[in-house]
Formats: sequence, C-alpha cells, structure tokens
Amino acid sequence: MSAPLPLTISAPNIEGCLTKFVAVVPTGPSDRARDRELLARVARGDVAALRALYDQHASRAITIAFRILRNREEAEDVVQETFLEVWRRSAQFDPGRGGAVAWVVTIARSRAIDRLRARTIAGKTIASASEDADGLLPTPPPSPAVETERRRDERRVAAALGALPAAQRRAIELAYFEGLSQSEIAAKTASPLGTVKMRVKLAMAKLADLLGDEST
Amino acid sequence: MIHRHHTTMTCAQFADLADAFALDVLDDSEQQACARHIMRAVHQVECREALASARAVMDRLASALPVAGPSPGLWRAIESRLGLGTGSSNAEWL
Repeated sequence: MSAPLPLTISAPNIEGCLTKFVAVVPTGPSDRARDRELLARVARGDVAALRALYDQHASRAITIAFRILRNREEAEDVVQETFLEVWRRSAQFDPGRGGAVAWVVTIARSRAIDRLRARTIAGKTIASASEDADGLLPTPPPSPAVETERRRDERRVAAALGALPAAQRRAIELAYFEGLSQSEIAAKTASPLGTVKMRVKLAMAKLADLLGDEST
Repeated sequence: MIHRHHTTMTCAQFADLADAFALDVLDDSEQQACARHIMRAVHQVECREALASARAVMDRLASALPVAGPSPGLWRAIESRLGLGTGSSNAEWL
C-alpha cells in the first residue's frame, strides 16, 4: 500500500502536492465570465454546460471531499451530490459571492461535512474510514498559461498560510480542509474551546488581510 | 454569548462569529442563529461585509487545494442520477 495523501495542508504540503496533481482551474476574469455563462446555460437545462463545469471543477470538489472523508467512494458520492445540486440550483448562483469554483467547492465541502458529522453520530471513527490516495487520479496537464496562473495563485495562498502562527494555521487546516467544528478542533488539539475560536478568528482576519487585494 | 431559544442575535455578535459561520465550524445552535440573523439582516452592511470577507478568504483557500481526478465513470453516474442524456433539459427540476 502506498503512502497516504497528506491530510494536513501546510505550505510545504501544498507545494508537494502540486508536483503530483495538476488541473485546469479558471482564475482570471475571462474564466469567471465563462463560468457564469456556463451556469446560465445549466439553468436553461444544458447538460453539456454542466459537463463543462464538471470537467473544470470536479477535481477540486473531489479533493476537498476526500480530505474531509478520507474515503474515495464517499468522496465521489459527494461529487455526484454536488453536481446534482449545481444542476438544480444554478439559477440561484450569485457571482457577487465568488466564482463558480468557490461555489462548487463550498457545496462539496458542506456535503462532505454533513457526511462526516453523520458518521460521527453513527459512532464510526474517522480513522476507520481512512484510505490511501490510490483512488485519486492525476488529471491531465492544462495549457502552460493556465497552469502558470494556477501555480502562482496557489503559491500566494500557501505563502499566506505559511505566514500564520503554527497554532492558527493548524486551526484553519482542521476547520477548512478537514471539516472539523471548533469543538472538535479543541478536542483534537487539547486546547480550550475559547482558544480555538480566537485562533480561527485571528487566522481568518490575517488571511483576509494577506489575500484581500487578490480576491477578485 | 449566544442565548438559546432563538434569542435575537445582534449585528455585533454576528460579525464576531461571521468567519466561523462561513467556515461552518460553529456548534449547531450558533450556526442556526447566524443563519437566521443573516436572513433577517440582509440589508445590514456590517453583517454582509463580515460574511463577504470570510467568503473571500474561503475562495482563496479553495484555490489552494491540490487537485486530483475523479474516476472515469463518475460523470456517467451523475448523468444516470439526472436521468438525462447530453443535450437534455433540467426543466423538471425548476
């Protein structure tokens, strides 16, 4: 069995993963405009447009779902649910609240968290669902220009995460990338709940400061 | 402190929790209280700005995700659940 995918995102881990996986990810204004058009077409019932969105964004959806659930089959179920929800709710997409990739990832993350918490309620441990990353397939290389922009964007975020104090970075990793609640983070890190809340708040404020000028 | 039993949340309380609300890391009662507040306070600039700031950070974190491909059959599974073929309509969902 091969080594598991790193489940803790840190600046070095992000860079490490980037050497393994690549994907076409829209980042510029023209990409956002294209995504808006695709979503408008989906709202009119165009399955080909949904497929185009799937081709662009399914890779990130499955990555966040897998990171939270650590189970490929469940992660792919989440991706199915995510794109069914995109199909049903595309008319409600609000471009003023972010791009399509963020919307898709947010849906996938929420559905994965729902499953994680249902699993916890059912008494299953997170560890029992652990799985290595063999089922996650590398995606085809994008165009050099898209890949260059994607890597630049990821380096910016990795640098911002790397600028956080270790405890704050860990809190964000557990919250965003692993889907744990603040109470669960407190238990996992043996920290008081109030301390965890403050770490999350300070981390988000610092990330907003570091990344705010680049978020459009 | 957020009181239970649907006590009204103030805008200052919401702003304090907006990051955690956006991340969906609050306990259920607080998450629901925040959701109720933002529905009621739709015109409150302070609340909307606090939430928008958190969502902007989450957008950037999404862009930092390393990516991997789904199984080749996943799209076919989605099409099957839609009960549709390429070029069909989703009108029955709307």
